[in-house]
Amino acid sequence: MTTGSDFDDAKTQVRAEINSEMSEVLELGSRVMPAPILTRWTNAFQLGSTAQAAVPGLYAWFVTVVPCAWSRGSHLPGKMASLLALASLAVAVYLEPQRPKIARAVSVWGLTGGSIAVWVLSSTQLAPQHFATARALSGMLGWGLFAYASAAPALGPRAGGVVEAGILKPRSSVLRGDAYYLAGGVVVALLLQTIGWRVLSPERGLLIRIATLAAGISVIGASVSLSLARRLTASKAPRKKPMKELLSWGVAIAMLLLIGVVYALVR
Amino acid sequence: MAGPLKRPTQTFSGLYDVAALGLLAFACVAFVLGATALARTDDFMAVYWLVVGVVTLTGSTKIAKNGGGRG
Repeated sequence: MTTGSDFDDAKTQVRAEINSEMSEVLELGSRVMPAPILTRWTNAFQLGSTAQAAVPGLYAWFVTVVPCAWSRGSHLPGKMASLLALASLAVAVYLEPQRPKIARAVSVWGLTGGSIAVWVLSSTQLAPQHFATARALSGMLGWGLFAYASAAPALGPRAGGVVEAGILKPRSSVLRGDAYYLAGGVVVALLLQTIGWRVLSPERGLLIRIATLAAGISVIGASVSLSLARRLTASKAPRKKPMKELLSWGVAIAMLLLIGVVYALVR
Repeated sequence: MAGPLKRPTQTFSGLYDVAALGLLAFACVAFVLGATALARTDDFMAVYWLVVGVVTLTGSTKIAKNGGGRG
């Protein structure tokens, strides 16, 4: 253990402290998790992309195919096609460890082909264009996730197992008041979500939800940016003239407000 | 006895922080007004307040990043 008096100056002491911390991290980084813990998770880590895509595929099938195939008035061929679509997901998961390419083809083409057959065979009243807005949006989300998971597979298991990196030390301390910034942003975002629940039109309601969600996310992001900006003590990048920037933004916002006042007076 | 000499950016950093916080608060108010106008089906005012909110929020973060901190 070294004390401050062992070094000639502060810089040497800081270098020695950094070197000792780095050696600790290297020691911790070289440790590998023991085998029993890894073996418990082997199956979960070895799930491939087709198995992962099966989850949103099942969701999309449930939301958009089942109502067409199994509602009152549906036909037997549609029911059979829906079961085939579902079975293709299960077969693909089963085939994946041995034949991943065939499994992916079965998953993608089996589900989409079966679903198309169901939609073609279903009666007009049950066709997808008659879905409620919420169901249609959920179905789009499910199909989008299925396409994404099928096209962009997750990385495979890491060679060499999971390495425990030890406890990482933060590079800077947390300033007092950061939590207040974040809490303020979250409160405003939640407050925005209380607006517009009594609107009768579903399209208008959906538009309000999207707008308030985007606004809430923007406010939380800006709160975090303001909180982080307080610690820009050692920024090497040359700064613009802050007073000039403050004035230019002030003028721009004042002009916007003036337009609003003029509009309110004219209206 | 005089204290340590401060750089100009350090002197005004408090002002910039306060200005950024004020603009953030104003942006929140603008977003609330915009969402309320959207619920009233007053589309022009809704778009107006949402644009004011976005511009104010952008200005707030720019000012905080450029002039905030401890100099």
